[in-house]
Amino acid sequence: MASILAMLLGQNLENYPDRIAIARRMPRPVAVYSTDTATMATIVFGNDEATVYNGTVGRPSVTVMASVDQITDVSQLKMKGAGLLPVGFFTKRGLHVLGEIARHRLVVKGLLTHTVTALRFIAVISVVE
Amino acid sequence: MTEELKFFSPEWCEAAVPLVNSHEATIKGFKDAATFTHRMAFTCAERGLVTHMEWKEGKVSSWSGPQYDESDLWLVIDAGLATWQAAASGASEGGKFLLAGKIKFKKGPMSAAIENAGAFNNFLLSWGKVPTDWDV
Repeated sequence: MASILAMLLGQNLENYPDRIAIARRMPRPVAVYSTDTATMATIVFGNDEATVYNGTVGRPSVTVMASVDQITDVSQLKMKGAGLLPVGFFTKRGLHVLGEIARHRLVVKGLLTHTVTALRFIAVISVVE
Repeated sequence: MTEELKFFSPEWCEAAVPLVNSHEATIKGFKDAATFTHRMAFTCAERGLVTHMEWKEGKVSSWSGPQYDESDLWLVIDAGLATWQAAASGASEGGKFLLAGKIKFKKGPMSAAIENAGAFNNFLLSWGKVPTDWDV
């Protein structure tokens, strides 16, 4: 899980360097738990680098608990405005993701208290230009 | 009785091509099959097995042993024999094995796996239609 997230994050920041600034604005870790592989990873963002750890590290402000398919869907949502304009949610895939969140099939802990961080996280892992 | 072909042997790869290309779910799973033209490698490093394949517009045009330069390969994907066998049997999906670190992207964009996850999962499932001798 950590190696896949690290590869995805590294390739994204290389392909879309404007997202480095978004990553720098994430002061606290974000964790991802894959419900169908029972694996967890935590991304800790720093000024010069981001580090992905296996398991939980620090006190993540946002924890995403999702299936592989849901993680795949989330990482295909288009985000604009430094991650603050979640235009990808207004698509068929985005509405499906919102439905899964509403039904608690996809859990985003911290979504209401750290909404901006949650949106920025989607922006840095999204493969959509 | 159909003869079982050694997994990832040239004969196995040749037999898999029409089965992959006739697997409708694989084609439907591409983000855009019409532009999916790439060379890639599927390997089982633990057994020293390397195969190279070429996709043209969402269809496999060739699959055999190593034939391309490393620099020509868009993706290099590796897994252990047990993982490939489980994916081919449908015991679990390729995407789950990928996230669990059992299928490894040695080279290539992760975006390819994410955007074409449906095709990848069904591509691996189509391997299960090949009469396979897994004792390699």
